[in-house]
Amino acid sequence: MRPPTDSRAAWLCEEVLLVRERDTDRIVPVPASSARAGAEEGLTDLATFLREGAAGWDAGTRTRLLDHLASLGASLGLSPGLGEGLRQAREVLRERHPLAGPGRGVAVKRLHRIDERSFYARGRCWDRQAPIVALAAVTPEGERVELWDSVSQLGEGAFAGRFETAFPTCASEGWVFEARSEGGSVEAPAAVMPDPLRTLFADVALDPTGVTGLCEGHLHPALSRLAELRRGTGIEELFAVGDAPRAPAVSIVVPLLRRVDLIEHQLAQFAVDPELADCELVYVVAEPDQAEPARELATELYGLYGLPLRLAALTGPGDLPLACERGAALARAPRLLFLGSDVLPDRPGWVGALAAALDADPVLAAVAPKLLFADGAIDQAGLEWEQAAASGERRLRARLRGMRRELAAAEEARELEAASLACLLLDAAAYEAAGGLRGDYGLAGYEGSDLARRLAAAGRGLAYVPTAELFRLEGLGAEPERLAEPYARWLHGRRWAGELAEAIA
Amino acid sequence: MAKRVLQVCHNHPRVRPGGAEVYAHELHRHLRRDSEWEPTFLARSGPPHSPAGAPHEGTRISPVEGVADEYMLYPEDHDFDWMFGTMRRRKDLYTEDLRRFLLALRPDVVHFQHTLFVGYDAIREVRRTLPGVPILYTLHEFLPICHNKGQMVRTFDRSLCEEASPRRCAECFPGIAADEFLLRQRFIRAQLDLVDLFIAPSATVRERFAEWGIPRERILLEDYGRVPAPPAATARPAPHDVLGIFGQVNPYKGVDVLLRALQALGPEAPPLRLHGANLDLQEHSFRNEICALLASTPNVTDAGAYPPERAGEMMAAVDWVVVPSIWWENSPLVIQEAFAAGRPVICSDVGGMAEKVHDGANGLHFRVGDPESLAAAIRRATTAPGLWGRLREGIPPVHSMAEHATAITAAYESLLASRAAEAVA
Repeated sequence: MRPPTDSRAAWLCEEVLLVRERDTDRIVPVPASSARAGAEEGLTDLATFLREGAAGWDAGTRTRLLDHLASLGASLGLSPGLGEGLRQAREVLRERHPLAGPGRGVAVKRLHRIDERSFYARGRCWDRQAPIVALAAVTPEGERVELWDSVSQLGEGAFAGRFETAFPTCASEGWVFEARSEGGSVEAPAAVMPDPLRTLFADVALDPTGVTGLCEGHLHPALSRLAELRRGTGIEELFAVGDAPRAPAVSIVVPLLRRVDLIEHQLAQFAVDPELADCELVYVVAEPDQAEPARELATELYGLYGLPLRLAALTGPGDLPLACERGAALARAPRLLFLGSDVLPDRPGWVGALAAALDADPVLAAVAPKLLFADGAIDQAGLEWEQAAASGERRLRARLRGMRRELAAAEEARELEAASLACLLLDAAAYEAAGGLRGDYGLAGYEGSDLARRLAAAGRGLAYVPTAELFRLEGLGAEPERLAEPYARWLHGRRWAGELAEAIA
Repeated sequence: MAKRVLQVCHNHPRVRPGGAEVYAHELHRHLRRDSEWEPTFLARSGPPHSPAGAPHEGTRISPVEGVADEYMLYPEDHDFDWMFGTMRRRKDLYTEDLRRFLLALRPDVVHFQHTLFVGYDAIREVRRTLPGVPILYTLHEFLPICHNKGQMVRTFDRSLCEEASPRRCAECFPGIAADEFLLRQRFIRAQLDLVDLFIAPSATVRERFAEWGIPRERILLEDYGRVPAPPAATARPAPHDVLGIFGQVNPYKGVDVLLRALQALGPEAPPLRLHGANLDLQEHSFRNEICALLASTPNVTDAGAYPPERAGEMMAAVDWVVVPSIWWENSPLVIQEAFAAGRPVICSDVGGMAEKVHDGANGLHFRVGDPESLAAAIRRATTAPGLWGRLREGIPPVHSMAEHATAITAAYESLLASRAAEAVA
């Protein structure tokens, strides 16, 4: 018997009143706007109301109420007040389990938000006596999502996978993961962590052969969704200083990530190169919080160097390919040059050397220079595909990396299979016709290779120009290539496997 | 109308005396007094070297009190980037304060004596604001080449460095990527490429900068000039066994090498007069090392720092001046002072020291950084009959400030003539 009480209602949030019906004892949410007069009779706080009202309910009934309440976020919009009310409700109604049992446990190493209703989790659940039969994620707002049949099971209880909630959830703290076996249930708290890309790229290595479908079924959809979200990011031109040429021959687009101070180092080199007078210089800040420091610095540097430049910033978080892509949309010249902010010319004349090569052969749509390490060794003389002797994997690698810059093979102009975006001069019309950059590889080399393939499909070529030499200073804080490489390789293979096999054969 | 030259220096001797700034200021005063040029001296000041910052709101340049042709520049010292030799954020130091100053002064020639704490960008500002004005730059050490205080000495074992490269520099500074050193080199070169003529006080420095990429024909070899010292340089009676060491006490000056050499000589060790400065500014471990060596070396008199104007008087009290630096040195002023005082020099056998002191002619060399070798040189100096007098006879006349100023102003004139010819063409 439920103890007699006068508590009949409580506010879930400003917009919703929870009322216990006198006849049925059911708890129903009532919009504040349609709450009947007298509905507030017996009003109490939410926790007391739920404890009294749901006391004696079985776990299933409480779970159904929780699900019902969680659905309010979808119909009403998940306001901070509603979110807080739902979190309180969940704490009262949720069936609690021990954090660990004898030989049993669950742990979540990574939990990332992909968008407001999709997430990626990696962890492990185990029971030494009996197999795990269920795994569920409980959102801070109380929605329960069953995972065990959908995530990739990686052996010894390890799991990883993307999942979706039916209703929006926005809190980072307060997640619970529950695992169940015949021996009982256990639970573990979890919180959403930042930087999903790092985890998603790294997790490709968890299933190198694709046997569990982790990449195809989870990582790729998650990464594609993140890329899609990035593509929604726009660009805003912050200012243009100086008298840029009315009809520039080349638009140089430089994406800036993290180190906006590199503008100064490039300008110090450009200032001594007369060819830059015919170029339009467009810097694109890829991180919105760097826009203001970049604007201040660029203003000061214009005062000192007097080089006309345009500064733009992405309106939301982005990456280098996106900054290139958006910057290209601002460019006015018939030639488009992507240049990494960590790339410095060895000497003046490099733009002319690249442009002359492009002009000389109408079939060419793109040309790439010789890129050097700080010690003068070759970083890349273009990119090429190779098949690993042991694994048979096809991977993109830097051509002639580590060799002396004067090597005969490095002094010969030639066609290329691919080139990175570190320095790439393009026929702007061909670039646009090819559809620009995909923006989902996470690695500039693979973006460049994909672009080269699409240009090739349109009958246009890519060539290496050894007389243009620039330093590429990867040690200036750029993301290590190895992190994104496995996914980029997988994705490129997924798109171009047949043609690549043909090319290597 | 007299032509105007602006000298820019990293410090004013009034704030803190140091070799380069003392020399630069003497040149400035000589030009004021004895040339047809109208000189102006702009020296960096402010914390931490001077307690006071810019005295006037709205400008970072102010006159030196009571002096008609000298100014102080007050950059924010915390904004100075040692790695790149530039102001990190406050570029308006150049584009506003320095630009206004240049436009107000309108010098015919700008001569950078040093850009430490000022920034290499000041060169660019001069070129941008006064495009036709010749720019000179005196090379006082290897700072543009070497991040280790311009010494070209490896950080991990204090051995001499023959060549800077991004990879080698990163070995000296493991926390800094080689790529940063390429960036440093390129940035500094981009600014120095705007200089019309470099002044190298020694062939050692000229060759090193030529190897670094500055065209040799743009480097004028011209030693520092000295204002004549008062006539205190008299001969001393035998025995000629009193040693003197003069100047800064820091890890590169080799004071420790000399003290170890004296310890190696044991009871034979001759007396040493130590005129050292700035030990208090050194790192704790080095200070402790020197203090321990001083305490355990007999016959050393700590005679205190020497004001440059009293160098002759103080050197007259010793027979030999020892210059045991473990870095290359440029053209050590102390060697000129010793020669002006008629004292032979015992010095390390490298760089500017070996260039200025000829072994067996006006001094003795020993193997750099080697106390045993220095001990042998001291033993020979203090015991070989007639050696002191013979070496004293071999001392060359000191390059005077008057001769030096003539050479420097001739360079100014030559650059102006070239500019005029270019304008006509």
